[in-house]
Amino acid sequence: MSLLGVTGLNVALTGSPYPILRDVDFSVEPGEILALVGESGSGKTMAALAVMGLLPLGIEMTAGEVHLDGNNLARSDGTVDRDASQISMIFQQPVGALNPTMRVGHQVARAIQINQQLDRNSALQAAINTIGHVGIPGPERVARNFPHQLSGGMCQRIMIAMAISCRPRLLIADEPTTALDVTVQAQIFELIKALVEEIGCGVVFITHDLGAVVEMADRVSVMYGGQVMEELPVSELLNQPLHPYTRYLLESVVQEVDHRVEDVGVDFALTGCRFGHRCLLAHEPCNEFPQLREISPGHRLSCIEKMTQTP
Amino acid sequence: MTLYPSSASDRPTDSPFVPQRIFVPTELSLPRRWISFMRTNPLFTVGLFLLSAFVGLAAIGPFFVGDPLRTNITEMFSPPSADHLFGTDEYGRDVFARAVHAARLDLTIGLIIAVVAMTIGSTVGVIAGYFGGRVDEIIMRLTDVLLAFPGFVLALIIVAALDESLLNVVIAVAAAYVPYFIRLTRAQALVEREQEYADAAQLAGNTPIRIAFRHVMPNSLRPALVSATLVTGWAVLTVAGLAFLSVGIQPPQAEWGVMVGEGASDIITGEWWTSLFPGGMIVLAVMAFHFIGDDLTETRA
Repeated sequence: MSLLGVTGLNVALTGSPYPILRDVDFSVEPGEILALVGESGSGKTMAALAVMGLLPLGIEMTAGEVHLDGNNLARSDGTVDRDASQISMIFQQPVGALNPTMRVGHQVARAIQINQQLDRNSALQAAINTIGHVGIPGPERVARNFPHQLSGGMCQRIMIAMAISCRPRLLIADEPTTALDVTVQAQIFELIKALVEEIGCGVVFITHDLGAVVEMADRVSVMYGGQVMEELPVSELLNQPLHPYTRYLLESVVQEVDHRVEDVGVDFALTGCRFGHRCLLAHEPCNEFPQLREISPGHRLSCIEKMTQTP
Repeated sequence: MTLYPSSASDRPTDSPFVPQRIFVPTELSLPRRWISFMRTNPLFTVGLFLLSAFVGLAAIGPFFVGDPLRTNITEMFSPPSADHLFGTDEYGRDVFARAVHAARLDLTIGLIIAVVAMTIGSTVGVIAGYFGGRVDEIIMRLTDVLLAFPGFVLALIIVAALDESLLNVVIAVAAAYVPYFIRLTRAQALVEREQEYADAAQLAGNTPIRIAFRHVMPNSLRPALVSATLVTGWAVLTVAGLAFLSVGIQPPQAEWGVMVGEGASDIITGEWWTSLFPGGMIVLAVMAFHFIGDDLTETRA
């Protein structure tokens, strides 16, 4: 039984016949880092928000199940139960994710206080310990600062402290280093990896940076237009990507290729395969929505063209 | 030779490198910083000086002037002189003493009204903005109804409906300005609730009430705080205006509006000082708040 199991997740604007996420499947084992990869608008963040039960107003789950430890969190009214003590999230903009009018120590303490039934003072002490634990020197002093007094990297560490303070089972990191510069990025990656190892939680790591994926992840789910294109172990990502979109994605990074992918802009097909309009291999059967199918252990693919080639 | 000379002695003497003087902006001394601030914000400075003068007048002035209610039949309508700076009115009361005592009353009432209106208005505004939906709809439509009346007329109606006491004047004028703060705070709360820290607070397991008041509200107060300075001035004007119409504060209370109202009829007979001086005080006080509020609106809201 996996820690997080998302099956057949459909998310749509209320009343719209075209889903934003279509039949999204992914799962995370304890201690595993799953990367959700895809370009802007591919539905990575939307999938994470759905799991967290934080879907914006006017967007709802129309189908699918979200299992955490075997319990289905999805409710029949299209919302998701939020379990604050089990799932934590690290946001993209560390400075924006902290309340500018509260001292950071109190913000971390508050998260601890709610989830562990501690009194104010011991929660603050626990918060200071956690802040020290994420590699911030002088945690007592930093805890008294307001977010604007700290750098982006420091704020992200505070966010991480907040996220791990209640030892969650599942951590969702939504492009945690996009707003930071590269050296800080590497430190944050190391920190997240170390903490995941320490508390043994599963991680959904959302990014568009394939370098970060190779660095961090165990498995990769490639998304495009709200559809999971391919799911494969990170070792196979570089060696044997099967889906045409995965290859495009890789070719957009690798410099020494003799043919460049033509940029046709974002153009989702609303029926059939979401990648149909841009895919060079697309033909008639691609007007049907391709289901995600296992083609080898740990490697799932949703491409009709490739599926017929691979026995 | 080292690649990066760490001191002058590391550098070979025949080096073509000549240390350049670079421009380092020096920190200005405190008084100089004040002067440069005043130069860039002249209106704010004028407002601040005016307001300080009024606050000083209201705080310590009443201890130095005579009784504002003492009448003196022998000195009716004496024009401004060294004895009576602003002259005396029809009962021989010293207009200056009355104006100074009135400053204390008017400024205090104005401030209380602004604080009350802001507290109620921003609380309701955060509820409307954060919770949205039907709550928001109901609150905003009620606000629209209140905003349909000019603030002055609304205050007039409320005082007329309640008894004419000082407390009721405060309630009435504050009620007239509450919708204003509701709208300002709601608009900001709509922005703030979409910020990631609100999501993060929700994820940490905070209750919606706590997120609304502990996280969203402190961040939504800025426009309301800035406008509170403007509203203080308007409140002074409204209270004085009501008193002028003999609604609310009544004679013989020393209040600017009351004094202007009582003195208005004297102008025809040539005793201009009984109404001009308190009227001028109203203008200057409202101007002080307005200059400050206007400047803050432009720079801080």
